[in-house]
Amino acid sequence: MKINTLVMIPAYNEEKTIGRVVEGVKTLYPDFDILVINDGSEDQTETYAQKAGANVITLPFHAGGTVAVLTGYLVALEHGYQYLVKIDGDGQHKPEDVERVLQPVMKDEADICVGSRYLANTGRIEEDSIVKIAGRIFSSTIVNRMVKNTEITDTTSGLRAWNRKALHNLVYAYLNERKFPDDSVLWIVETIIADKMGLRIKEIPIEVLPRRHGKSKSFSQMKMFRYPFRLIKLLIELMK
Amino acid sequence: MIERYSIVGLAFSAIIILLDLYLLKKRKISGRTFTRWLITGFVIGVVSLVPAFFTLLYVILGTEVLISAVTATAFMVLLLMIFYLDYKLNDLNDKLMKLTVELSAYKYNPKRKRGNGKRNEK
Repeated sequence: MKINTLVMIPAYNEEKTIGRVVEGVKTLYPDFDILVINDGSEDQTETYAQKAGANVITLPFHAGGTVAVLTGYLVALEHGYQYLVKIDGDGQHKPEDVERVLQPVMKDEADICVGSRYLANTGRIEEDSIVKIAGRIFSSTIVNRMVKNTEITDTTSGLRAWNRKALHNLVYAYLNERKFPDDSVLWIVETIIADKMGLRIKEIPIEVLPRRHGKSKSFSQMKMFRYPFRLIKLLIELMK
Repeated sequence: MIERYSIVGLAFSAIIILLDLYLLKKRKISGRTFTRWLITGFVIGVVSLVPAFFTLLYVILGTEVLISAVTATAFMVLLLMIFYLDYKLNDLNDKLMKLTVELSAYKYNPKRKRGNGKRNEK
């Protein structure tokens, strides 16, 4: 059952966590191929990922999360993988959840499965700042207004699984029909265009652990300032 | 009465905003460039409507020559040329990113054998 699955781990300056993440996935899923996409890291991410037993693609420069993720899509498509799973390299996702996001895709219940931290009843109090929480509520409201066939609670979740049909449609759209989206709105854009393509999206509950090392690449003061503009741009672009 | 340079400013402001929106709808412009020129267009529009900004400009530049419609037109044409170059740069950047994806994916060479027993090479 577990052959023909690729686990991709985009990573930028994650030398402190990448080895543990790769080993965790490898131990639980020895039949899966693991690909670390090193987004031009300035530290030893590539070395630690290779030592842990992952295949590593190093991008020629720091091109951003969107380029890293789309590289993973293309690799999965061109090398005949049936399923692709993405897990973050910062150790915030539990390797045990990889199989949970894969199940709906493998059972053909969904083309894309997203792990949502807001569906899980962990009893943990939300630790994010008010600005971050407001941003998430704002973006999920926009997404849910624009998609018809599903309801998304976690628009920025990085633990996801795709089948070949989804990958084929998305790669074609990104490479031929539109500009690459900014990193901060990649998952929002993908959710909306996948819904427009008629792909089935399903959310399952997952637990997200607190970050132990380094800073989040998704949120900085400047990114938070730009975020509303990018959402407005997205609204204008995707409105009929 | 509204000054001629204000009319020129407003006209170019509208041109920039409409062009920006058109390129966005046609998916030919990325988020960062779109935002930059949308803000620029609005700022030009606001500045054109409030002559006090020009008075401030006279003070900053220390000039006594009043801004004419010709000067405003020349400045706006220059701005439109910068818009075009920024758009082309944005387009090239997007192509570079797409090329990076294709080139990087080509580098993938799995270390171990897959389920069918054959080495999975391109």
